[in-house]
Amino acid sequence: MIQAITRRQFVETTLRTAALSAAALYLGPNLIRTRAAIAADPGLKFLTPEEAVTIAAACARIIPSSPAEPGATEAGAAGVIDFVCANTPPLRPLYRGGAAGLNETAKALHQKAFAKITPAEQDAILASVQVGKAAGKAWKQIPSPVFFFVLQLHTKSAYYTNPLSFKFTGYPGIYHQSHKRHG
Amino acid sequence: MAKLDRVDVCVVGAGPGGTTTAMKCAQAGMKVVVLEAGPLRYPVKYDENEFFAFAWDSAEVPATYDPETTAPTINRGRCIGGSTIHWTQVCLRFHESHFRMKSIHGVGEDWPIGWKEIAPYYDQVEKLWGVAGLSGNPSQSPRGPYPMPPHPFTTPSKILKRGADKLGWNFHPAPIGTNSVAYDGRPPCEYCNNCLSGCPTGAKASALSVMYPRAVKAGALFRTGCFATRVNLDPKGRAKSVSYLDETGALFEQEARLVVISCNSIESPRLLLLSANPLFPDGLANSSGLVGKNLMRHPIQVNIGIVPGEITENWHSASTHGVILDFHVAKKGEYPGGHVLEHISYGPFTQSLVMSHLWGNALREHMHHYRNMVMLYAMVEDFPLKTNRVTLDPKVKDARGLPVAHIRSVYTKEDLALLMKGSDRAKQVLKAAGARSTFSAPIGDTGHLLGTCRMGNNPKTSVLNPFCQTHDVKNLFVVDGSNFVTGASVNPTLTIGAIATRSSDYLIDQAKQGAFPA
Repeated sequence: MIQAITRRQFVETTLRTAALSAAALYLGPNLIRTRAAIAADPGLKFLTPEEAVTIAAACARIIPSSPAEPGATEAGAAGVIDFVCANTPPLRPLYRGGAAGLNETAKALHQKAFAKITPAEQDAILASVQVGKAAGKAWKQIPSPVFFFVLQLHTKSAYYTNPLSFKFTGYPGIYHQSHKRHG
Repeated sequence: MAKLDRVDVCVVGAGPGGTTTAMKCAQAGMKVVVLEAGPLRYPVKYDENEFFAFAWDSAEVPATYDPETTAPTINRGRCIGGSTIHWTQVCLRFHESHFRMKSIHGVGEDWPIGWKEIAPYYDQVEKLWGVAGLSGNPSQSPRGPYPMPPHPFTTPSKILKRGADKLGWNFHPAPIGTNSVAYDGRPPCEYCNNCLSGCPTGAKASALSVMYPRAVKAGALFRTGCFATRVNLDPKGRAKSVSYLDETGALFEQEARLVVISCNSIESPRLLLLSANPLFPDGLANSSGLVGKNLMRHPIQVNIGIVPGEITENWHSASTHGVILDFHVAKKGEYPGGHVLEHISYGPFTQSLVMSHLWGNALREHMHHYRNMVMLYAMVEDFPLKTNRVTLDPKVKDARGLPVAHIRSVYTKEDLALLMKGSDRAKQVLKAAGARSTFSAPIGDTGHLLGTCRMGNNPKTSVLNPFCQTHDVKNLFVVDGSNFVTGASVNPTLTIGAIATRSSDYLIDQAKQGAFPA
């Protein structure tokens, strides 16, 4: 017979997965077409400049850049998110509210916008957002773990499907990238 | 509203169940129309990145979730081919005991059909789809040879076999619905790692590559972008027609002698519930009250081992090349659920997403080991519970103004305990194979959507009869995974195909005998 797990384990497991709630609504578009469309028309389509700066700062903590390795910034993650929002209306309140929440929490703790605080301060706020412990009115409208889940999903998709990341994962690219005859 | 000429069969949903019925009925000379809410994508149009398949479920298929729902499902596949476009092609049969969980273990319900009824249909479907595998696995019910030889083990599969061998467990070639040799006019697999996003070569069996072309050739008419909103009854309480909206939002009514629903275990009950009428105020064919109840989803956890030495070749095939079935049937007296351990190789984005809790430098560090990763997931049998269910959301409506599905599906403590046991075993394999460290991803959802219109002999305790015909409305059938009584511990698509094939034979025979409206 297997052991029944403890109530605590059960709650923890459920909490970890609860962040996925409603995420089905928010999965985005084909990223290669998205990248091509953004390259052809790089202006913001949905996010305000301030929101874009805030989201870009958050993306840069999900996948940080270093001198040795590019990250979310070089992969244009915030632009991808802007494009996704423009094309997926149900996503818009999540990112608008999430950007407002990040700034509200940053201002309450550090009297500065999220993009202006240190990376360590940003990481601490994102960690609280991930587990639903971030303070602020905005997070009453937008469940912060859902925002975090979608943010990490889009940031990872922007970077890890971008050929600029393949050198660092050793991934040769899938069929259409590795088999030129179908390209 | 435009009324369309009456046909013999109107199928709603072009996944593995619906295309099977459409193909069989068209081949039998019946006039068939298939309504598919999504688009048709030809294999050559499959794109370029592993993210794409998931995108199909996006804003087009809204649903809401009870906050307690564990790992909300994201796997819908709204297109011709349904979820077989991005399935991992594992074609395991049920074990014969999986049909009799109540008799053997006192859980769930017994199926009204068993191994004897279903085995010939497994044979048919394996031959039609083209399944590559190796018979003789002692953990499985006895069977004959597969239509094709098994795929050779990839490098990660060989590593896993080494680990399993040390533990005395049988890491067996997985039966996969992908060509190991040219078959049925389709080429052998090139192991391009694109399975989760749609097969660019057609090597992979799917409703799109196998049943759809046959159905079209036999005269079935597929209408894409057509969303069924309601099944209508005639004054005698028989299904008369399906109302649907096309892409422009225009409303049509397709009359048919028979209506066959195959929209998956979330959207099929949604359509029945949306079709409530004075005769069936709680939802069409829902006199049992079980439409939408007993949703089962196969809880899953991916386990990753970091092995020394980079895997530099023969690693990238997203389909499962090896499987451990030693624990997929519980022994009598043990906890009744079984679990499988299956190998998979994700692309880097999917791998980073599976580790949804990781970010920042921890994610970076994890992904630097990508070429050293070997993955083995545990997937468990969860049992039917009336509290795990699909209802209509009382407030939220989709773009068409129809209530969306509201999903409550909570993994039980027992499910999670079994999953932990399975993951422990997976990590034992990885360690025995030489992994220097192992990780478990957060608990997830397979997208195996099962059970919300279960079959049975008793109309009070089931929605469908053993041939997928609703007890309440004789010319209405449900042929997707909704008809499952219990979910077993194995990937369900082969069984969906076998049951749909059996249902089609019955339906065609009954039609010939004049059982349905003229």
